[in-house]
Amino acid sequence: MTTSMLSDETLMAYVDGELPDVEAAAIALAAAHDPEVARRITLFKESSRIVRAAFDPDLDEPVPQHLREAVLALGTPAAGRKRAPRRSWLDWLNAHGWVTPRPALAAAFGCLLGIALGWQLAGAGSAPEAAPSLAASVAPLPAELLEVLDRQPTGRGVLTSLRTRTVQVLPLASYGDAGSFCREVEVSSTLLGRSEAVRAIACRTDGNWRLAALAGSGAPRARSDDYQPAAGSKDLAAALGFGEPLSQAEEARYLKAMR
Amino acid sequence: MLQLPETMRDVLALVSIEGLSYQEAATVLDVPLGTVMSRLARARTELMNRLKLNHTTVDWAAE
Repeated sequence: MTTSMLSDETLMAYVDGELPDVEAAAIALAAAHDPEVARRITLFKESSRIVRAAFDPDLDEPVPQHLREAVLALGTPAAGRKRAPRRSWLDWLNAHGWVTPRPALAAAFGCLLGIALGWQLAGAGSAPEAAPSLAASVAPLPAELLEVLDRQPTGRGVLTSLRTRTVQVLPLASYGDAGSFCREVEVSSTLLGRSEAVRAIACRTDGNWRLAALAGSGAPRARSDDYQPAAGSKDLAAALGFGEPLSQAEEARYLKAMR
Repeated sequence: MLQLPETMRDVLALVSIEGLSYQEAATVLDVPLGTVMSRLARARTELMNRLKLNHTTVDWAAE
């Protein structure tokens, strides 16, 4: 392969991670020896950044409706995805360092247990030297999530669309005591028939919702209109030292009190 | 961005924003994989040209 024959499509595919490893290695070698190839690669990298900035949701340029419909109608996953989808709830969570890759779930639960242990030790008056940081929990939560936390009873999920992606927020259980009101929710995101989900526990204190814990969830649950605290959620709640979830009537009282 | 043809903006949205692979974008748009690649490369080079970033290698082949 001579560098003068490298097409824009090939260099772009290299930048986007679409080339097989062998070809990608050859492009990397070419770039190391040919400044012109390196310059063209840099331009394609820069173009990706510019496009993402131009489509930033804050700038109000949504993905065209016919594309959204085409993706949603497709319904089946395609093989070969190499890059994580962007602009989803999960991306938002990931950007805040809360989403843990599936292979590392054990470590995530270990971290949660560490948080719980840290709280217990702190409560006993002996602050641990290496307690996990909870600084991330003070970052703002998406408005749609806050709406669900404030209003939706357990089992009543809310579906929203985010560009070509469908996002469901489903309350799984509520926990409460005299000092706080906490809710466990599952946030699932579906694109091309492929779903990802995370479970989160958020607690309301001093009038604000803050994330207390987050973990991977596997396949999302089907929406249910019946009140049904999720038995499978107890591991996450237990890691935070919660007891039994509130009953439907107890939860309703908390929700009403917030209005 | 709005100055680009719709076919270019479509593929940009699917690949660069939604993170679809080239093959997935080809399926959604119902066009061959090569068409996705050529449209995407053209869109990005055109974008950079319009931003006057000195990209001088544009040599577009007809799709």
